[in-house]
Amino acid sequence: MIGEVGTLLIGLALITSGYAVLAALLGIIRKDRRWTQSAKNATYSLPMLLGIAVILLSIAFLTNHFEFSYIARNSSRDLPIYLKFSAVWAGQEGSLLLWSFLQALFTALAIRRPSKLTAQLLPWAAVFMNSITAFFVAVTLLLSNPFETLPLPPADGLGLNPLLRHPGMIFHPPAMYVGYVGLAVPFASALAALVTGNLKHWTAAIRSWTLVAWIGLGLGLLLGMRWAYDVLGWGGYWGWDPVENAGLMPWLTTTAFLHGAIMQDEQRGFQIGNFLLIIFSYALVLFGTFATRSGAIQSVHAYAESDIGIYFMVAIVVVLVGSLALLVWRRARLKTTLVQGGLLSRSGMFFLTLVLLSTLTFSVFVGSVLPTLTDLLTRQKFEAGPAWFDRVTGPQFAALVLIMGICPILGRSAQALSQLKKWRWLAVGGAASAVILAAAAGFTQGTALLGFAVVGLASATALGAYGKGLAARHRHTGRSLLHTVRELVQQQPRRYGGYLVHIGIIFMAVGIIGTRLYPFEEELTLTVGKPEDIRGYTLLLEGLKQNSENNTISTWANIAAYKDTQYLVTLTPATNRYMNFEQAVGVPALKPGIREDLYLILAGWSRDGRQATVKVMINPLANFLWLGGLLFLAGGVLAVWPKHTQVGRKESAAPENQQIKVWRDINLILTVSLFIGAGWTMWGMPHGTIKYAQGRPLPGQSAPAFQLTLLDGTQVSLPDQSPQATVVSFWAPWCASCEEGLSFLQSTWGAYQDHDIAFIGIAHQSDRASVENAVSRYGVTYPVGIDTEGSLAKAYGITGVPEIFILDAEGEIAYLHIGLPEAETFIKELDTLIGEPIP
Amino acid sequence: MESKKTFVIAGILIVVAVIYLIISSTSSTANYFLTVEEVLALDAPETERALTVSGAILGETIQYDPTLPVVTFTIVQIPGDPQEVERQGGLAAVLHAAVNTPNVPSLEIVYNDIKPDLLKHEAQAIIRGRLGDDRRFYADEVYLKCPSRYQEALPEQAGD
Amino acid sequence: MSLGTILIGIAILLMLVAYITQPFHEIGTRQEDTIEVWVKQMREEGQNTTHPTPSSDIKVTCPNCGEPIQKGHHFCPQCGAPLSEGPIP
Repeated sequence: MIGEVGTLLIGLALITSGYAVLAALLGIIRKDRRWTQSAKNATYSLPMLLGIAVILLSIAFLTNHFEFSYIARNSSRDLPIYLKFSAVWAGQEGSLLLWSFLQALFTALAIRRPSKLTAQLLPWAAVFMNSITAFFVAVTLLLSNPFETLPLPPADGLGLNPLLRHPGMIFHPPAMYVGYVGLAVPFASALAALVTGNLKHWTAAIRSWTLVAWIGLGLGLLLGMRWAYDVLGWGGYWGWDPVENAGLMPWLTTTAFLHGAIMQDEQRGFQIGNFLLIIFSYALVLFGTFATRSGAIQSVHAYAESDIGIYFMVAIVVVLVGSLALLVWRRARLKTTLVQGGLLSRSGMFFLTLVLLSTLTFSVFVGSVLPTLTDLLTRQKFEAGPAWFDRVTGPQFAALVLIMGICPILGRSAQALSQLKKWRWLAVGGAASAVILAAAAGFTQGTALLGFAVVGLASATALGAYGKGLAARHRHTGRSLLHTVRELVQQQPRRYGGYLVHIGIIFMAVGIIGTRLYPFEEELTLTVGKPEDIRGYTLLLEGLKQNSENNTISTWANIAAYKDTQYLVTLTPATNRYMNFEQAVGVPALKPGIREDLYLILAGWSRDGRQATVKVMINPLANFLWLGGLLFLAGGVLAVWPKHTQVGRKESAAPENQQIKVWRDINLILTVSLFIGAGWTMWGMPHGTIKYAQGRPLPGQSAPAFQLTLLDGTQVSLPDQSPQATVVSFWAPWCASCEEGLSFLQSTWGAYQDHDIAFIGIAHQSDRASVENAVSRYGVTYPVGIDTEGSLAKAYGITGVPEIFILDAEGEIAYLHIGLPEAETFIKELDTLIGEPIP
Repeated sequence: MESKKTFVIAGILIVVAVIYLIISSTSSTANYFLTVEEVLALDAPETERALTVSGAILGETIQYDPTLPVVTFTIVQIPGDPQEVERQGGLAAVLHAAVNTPNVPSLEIVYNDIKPDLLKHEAQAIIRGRLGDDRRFYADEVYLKCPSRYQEALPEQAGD
Repeated sequence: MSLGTILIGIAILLMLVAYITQPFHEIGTRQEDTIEVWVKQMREEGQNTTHPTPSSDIKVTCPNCGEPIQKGHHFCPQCGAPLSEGPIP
């Protein structure tokens, strides 16, 4: 029944959206408010119809309705609840339904409370938005219905692809959809502006919507990048894969559009440009959906091809041809760009920004379709790999950051050149100090230094400009600095949000320079107990473990990481074998740091569990990327924040103002949760690491001192009389290999008793009775004590038993063994120590 | 207007620079995108170029040595033209047909890295690298797409 | 199609149709709207004369759309027009 009601709801939504379009048109043509109101009602009912359909689908997922083909393919009984819920949009049918719902919801929100400005555009905007809703609902209903049933319901579903089980993948699609669907509002408004001839003010009207869509796209891209970094195990975050590019392109054009809209609002023209940008942005949105679903583009991301690709292709053509036709029709009314000031003015910089963002979009597009394009032009197929993209887009991005750096110092005046002169020392100083810092930190490659120079310049000018504004205001009002900051940010959230976005981009640029220009990757085979040095780190394999549950076999390696003999963390790169999917998925272990990230992937292991091969990657400055991403999002949110207008006491008590306050509080709570969530995804989530209180002392380090009460009541302490060798062995009577060890150590002790060697046995996590039992059973005569509080185990950082530390005459660790050593090795080590002359 | 000309010139300069970047990058760093047949048909000098080859994986040929690490496997010919793929019934059908047809052109791949998670029988592999003198393909990057990732055969179903 | 589905379907359909055709049922909607607008205007006028506005709340008018806005803005918050020439007091 759920399925039938669901399908019915989608069907009704299709009819209703079609009606909404017709009714709105009738209302316009006949100037009859009743038709317009009816269209409004129809628009309001759409998110309800589709929302209930989404809820029904979610319920079906949560209650394991595997008779639905979509659910059987994407869920299974053993899936945790939050994944069952997110599986709703894991596949094509559900994601199209979600898209339709969001489209209906945004349309309803957009027409709800028109300001004077939007009122003129609304009826037509509603026509276009509802047409888009109708298209998506039609595709969902007729070609891609999530409520389609199977003739014979299976007992259990296939489950969610293991690669998708990550918060990044859970929130990435909804964020992208907020972006994609959000762009429909400015797009429809643009078309409405063209149709009604009301060409000037439409950009101001949809400013908030554009920002929200832009934030959504940005968040979606950021989450996708983080997911790739955490899960895919290649240490990278962006592959220039055509589907990734399909998400990037509309973001680039929307960024351009945002800047162009600012210009238009300041009466500086850019009208034609803005229309073109929003038209192409929406066409790229449709292209993005087309690319993921049609199979026409070779990509590892794509959903399987289905027939709906062709319908999106048609939609793209209709959108482009129709919109451009409207634009041409209205060309007489469009003001040409009012140029105020030369290239080095605000207008000039914005112009260059728009040009660069457009060429970037063009470059990314060409790269994505290069095989088809070159095939057509040269009869030879070429493919653009990451090298191609880096080479083509790198300089363009760098130029953008440079412009970002020059912009704040130009201000709004036309006297740009004199401004530049005033700031030149700051700019040069910023560039120079960044270069010096970078070189000192070890980044000496030419391209990197150039990149850092641009970043340094941009940071210096940005800080200089904001600081200047802040200082001026501070002097003017005489209040505290904090108050000034708050005041400025509250009164001009858009401006300061923009500044924060630019700072975020600067951080991201630093991260990109580090990770792209200084990649480090090496394979290493580790043996248990043998520390290996790599690039300033020391890695010590403690052991391999395996666990099977839920049709999954996990194998992982515990690898302690040290930097300069200081224990950092224990990394646990793993391989999970999912029996359902007959697929093994690598789970990388990641230790983030300010200077670099240490990243391990488990490649393989020996059958006896004594060796593991890992791929070690070091990603310099990676966290600047994620931090920059968060700043950039925060800036976007700030920019869309409602302005804090000065309202008097009486007015603030008025109901509308109270409502605004409630909305603002809700916004605040939502936003803060969003950022906490995003921050947790980046740094809070376990990334395959365990932090023990203490690491083991490594060979060459002093052994921690301790005092131990032996079984016979006497005390033994370390450092002692400094014998030539001391064997400190941690064991436990409940451990099988330790018992083997007891007899082995005892016999060795017997053989070396005449030499200047001390043996100390430390029983770990054991009770006195079993220890005494084991000691008497194996005839242990060397000193044995119980580590009652576990303080020795902690000091020596052991993670299991048996573990043996052999100290030399200076009380430093000479050898360590995790697990029992080979007899020959042990004896050789002792011989080496007693053979050494005492210094 | 005087200043408008500056804008236009600046814009054109940027566009020209970008087009130059695109063309020069294509000729130097872009890979030839070829099918297995086309790779095997290459003449000697062209084997020095970076190539991208796409094919279907024969599961039984996958060999992995985790200590080096190195993976070797063989891929077989699938059509390069998406429309041809459509005509033959879609990618899944094409991959299935390719691995089950005897005597199809095949290419051995050597990849000095960890065995990719998705490397299995019948998966589509997109491989970037170079053709060695020994007619084996030395891969720098291997991209994989599971053939039935979103079209899994459903369990416990009687009939079709 | 089960009975439950049919019943639910009919219910939803009826509610939907009722909601969408509501504007056509309301006779005199336009008149009511006009009266509401008049009353609102009169109320506002009354407020303006009986409660002199404090100087800090002086409102000026946007030259473009005519909406009242607070002094000190650079752009009209309603229509976005710039106020660089100074609003009309």
